[in-house]
Amino acid sequence: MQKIFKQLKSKKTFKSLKSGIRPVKVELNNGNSLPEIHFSDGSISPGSCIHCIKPKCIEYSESELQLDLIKDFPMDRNNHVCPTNAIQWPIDSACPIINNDYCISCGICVSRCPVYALTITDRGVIINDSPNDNFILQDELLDEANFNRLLKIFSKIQTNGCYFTETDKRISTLYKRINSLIPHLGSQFPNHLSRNLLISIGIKTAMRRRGDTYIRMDLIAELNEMIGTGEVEFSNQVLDAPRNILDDVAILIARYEINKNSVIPIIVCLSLPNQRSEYWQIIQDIFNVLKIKINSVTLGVLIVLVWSKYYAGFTTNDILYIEPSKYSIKEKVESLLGRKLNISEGYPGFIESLK
Amino acid sequence: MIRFPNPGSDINSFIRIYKEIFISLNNKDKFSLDDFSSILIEKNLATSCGYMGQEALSRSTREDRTRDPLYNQSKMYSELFKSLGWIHPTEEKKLDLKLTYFGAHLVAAEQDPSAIFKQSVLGMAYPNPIINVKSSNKIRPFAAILKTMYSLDGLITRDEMIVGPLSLKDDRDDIEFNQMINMLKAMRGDFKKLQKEMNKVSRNLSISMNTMCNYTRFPIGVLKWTNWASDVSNKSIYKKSIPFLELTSIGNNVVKEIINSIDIRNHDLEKVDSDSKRLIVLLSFFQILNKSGFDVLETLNEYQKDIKILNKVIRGKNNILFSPFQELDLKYLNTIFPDISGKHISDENKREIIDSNNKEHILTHYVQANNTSTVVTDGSTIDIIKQIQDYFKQYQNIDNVIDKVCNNYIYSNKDTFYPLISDIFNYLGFNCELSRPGVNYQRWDAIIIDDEQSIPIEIKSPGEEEYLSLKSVRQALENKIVLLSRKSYPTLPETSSLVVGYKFPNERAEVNRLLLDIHKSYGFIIGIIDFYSLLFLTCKKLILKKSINRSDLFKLHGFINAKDI
Repeated sequence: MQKIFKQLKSKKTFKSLKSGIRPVKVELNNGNSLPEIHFSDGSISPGSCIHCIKPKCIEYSESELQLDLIKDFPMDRNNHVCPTNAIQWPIDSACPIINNDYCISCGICVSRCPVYALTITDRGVIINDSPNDNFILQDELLDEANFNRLLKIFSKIQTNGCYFTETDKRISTLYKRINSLIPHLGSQFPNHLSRNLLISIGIKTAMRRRGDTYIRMDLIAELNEMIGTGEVEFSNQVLDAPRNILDDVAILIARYEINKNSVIPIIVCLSLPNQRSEYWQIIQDIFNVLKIKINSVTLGVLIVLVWSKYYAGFTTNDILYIEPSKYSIKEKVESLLGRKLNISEGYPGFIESLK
Repeated sequence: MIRFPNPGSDINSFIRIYKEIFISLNNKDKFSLDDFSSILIEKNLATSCGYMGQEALSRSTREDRTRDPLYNQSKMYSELFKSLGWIHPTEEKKLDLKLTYFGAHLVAAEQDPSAIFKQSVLGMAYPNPIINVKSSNKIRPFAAILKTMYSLDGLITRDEMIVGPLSLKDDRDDIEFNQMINMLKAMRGDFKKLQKEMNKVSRNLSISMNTMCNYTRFPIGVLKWTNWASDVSNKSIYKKSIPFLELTSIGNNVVKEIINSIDIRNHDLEKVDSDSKRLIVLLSFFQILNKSGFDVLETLNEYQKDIKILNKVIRGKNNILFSPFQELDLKYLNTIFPDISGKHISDENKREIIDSNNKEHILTHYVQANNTSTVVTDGSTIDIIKQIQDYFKQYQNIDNVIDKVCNNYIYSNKDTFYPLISDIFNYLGFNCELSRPGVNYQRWDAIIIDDEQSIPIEIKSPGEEEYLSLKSVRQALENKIVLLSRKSYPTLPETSSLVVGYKFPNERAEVNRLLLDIHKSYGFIIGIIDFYSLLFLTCKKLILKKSINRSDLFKLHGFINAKDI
């Protein structure tokens, strides 16, 4: 009987820091230039890919995707960080590479790089692999213990700025890219992207396995003692989302005995429905009758949170609840970020509902 | 391009609104758009921001009237009512409105208001002094559309309508009309050419494509409602599947009538002497009433005797296509016809109109004749009752009867199935109304109206889904919440919300589980009824003479067991 052959692993090199220095802070530079790392000896150099043993920019670990409270959720365990598979590490390449035909600049991979080697630019995400005075290329693989020590040092440094500053033009480009790619990506893409974005802003989230009709929520999330349930709707069927999410909430209350006030219902949509849409009225009806506040968030807003290095999750169950008379999520997002957004209107419906 | 306002393309409700306006405001000499809006609200005929009633009015009111949704809705209705000659602006102020003698006849049309409505749409012509039309097109739009369809083998698309008949400069110019027909014929076979022409019209008028298409909703709604045209899909003409309107045999006859009539426009009358003008006005008006089924033959014949003096104008044709109230101003019309508004009409005459049109009486009859959301049985119920009776005579077995009737509706779509379900509930003794198509605030497809326990109904026709699904249960939950929140009709939280479909769901366990989840989480109950069970209940009443227990339906939770009700 022939044995099962394993694929050969590429012979990876790695980079280590110059002896005797440690990183002190990093200026992210808002996407205007490569992030600059300030070191203990006063030197400054851009982050450079260290060729991780387990590249966080490509894959989630098992524990990152595991839920603690709802263990039997029929989850899709797809561990790809990039929902379009734009980032890969070919066997013949020294470092990961990005296919900018598929990169939507969501910034999820960028936010996961421990040494700030990835940068969002107006031309897509780039990976800096150039060695420099502080990131020195070595001949052999680092052992895992030493590698983890290096990551730990980086995890403690102070960061300033954000990965990418939102502007009207950038938001518009982002939406154009996503809209052009949606037809070419699978039906799980909206859930995959939404799950990864929520994970990136500090919310432990799982997405439902396709074909499982017993539990129908697209996403489930754990936030301290609260449970989030998400419906993702990128098509024009957003009017279905409120009733679908009531189904989700009913499952959580009836089957998992979760208190109604501990549930955070979230609808993730591409753009906010326009002001004349019945959507807003139904959101209001649901609140009037059931006292359930359904949060609404757009894909663009989640991406801006990632670009802004927001990682505080959601602390209340109405954190993104839009009062139907306001039709805008702008104030709430600015409150989360602690700053004004650098946009006038952005892409239609991205942050404010159109008339 | 002729641009029709689009307050709503449901013609039944359109006529009903005029009747309500007339009944409520005929005691006023004149009225404003705000009076108009108040009636819409009072009679629950309009919504704003998802609300009905006073709440709608308060949510709609804006300081800037151009942004006030209800005001704009009233304005759109009033523009169309003016085009139809049912209301007129006063001489002093364009925004002050008066009811017309012609409009009074629509209200008086107890038997068949559709006949006078059809004459009214054929009477629409632009430009005219009653309305401010932005376009310079000289068009009688419905006649132009129908004639165009006739010349194009009975078929027309929405876009062809826009670039063709609705964009004619002068539809009575035979050369221009034929050029338009040839242009449309030449475009057929190449969809890009049609799109190019649409873009051209859009650019020339500086109107977006979407807006341009919205302007055709009213005429398309009318063509279908009058049965002059019906929807068809055609793959061969543009080498892709495109929805067309097809001229029906009824529409074909209307075209022949148009061709055999003399089409007169208001500016033609400037060239004739005053006696001839007066005679044309009287003749054409009474011809319209005659064609609309009014008892005017004696009066019409009196004027018809003098028709010879009009020979120069009517060129040997007896039928005149001209509607005086749609093309002439009230100042002139009041010299010939009575002014029926407010103080100008004597109390006695006013009483005559109102008495002969007892409000409830009119509406009930009207609804019976035209509205599929009828409270009383209409043709489809009669048809299904007759089917049941006939099959029962043949088989003498209820199960066989139900199987046969079920089979007859296996391919029916929502247009057939929804009214059928509503009618069956009415037959069973419930007051069931269908929601008007396109009325978003009525999330349910039909509703059983009750003084305390109204029940929203989510319907799925077999054309939509043969077996009910989880989706319809979710919709029933939403219906319940919307009804409780907006309070459109009285109901109680513990009253059921219904789902009616052709067959019970395939995955009953899943649906059952959802029903339990909803009940446990929100306290609401949802009842599920299949067509077979509904027919069983109908047979029970019709053949076994046993009524169903109403409270069983109000409390229905889960799948119906018709034999227990």
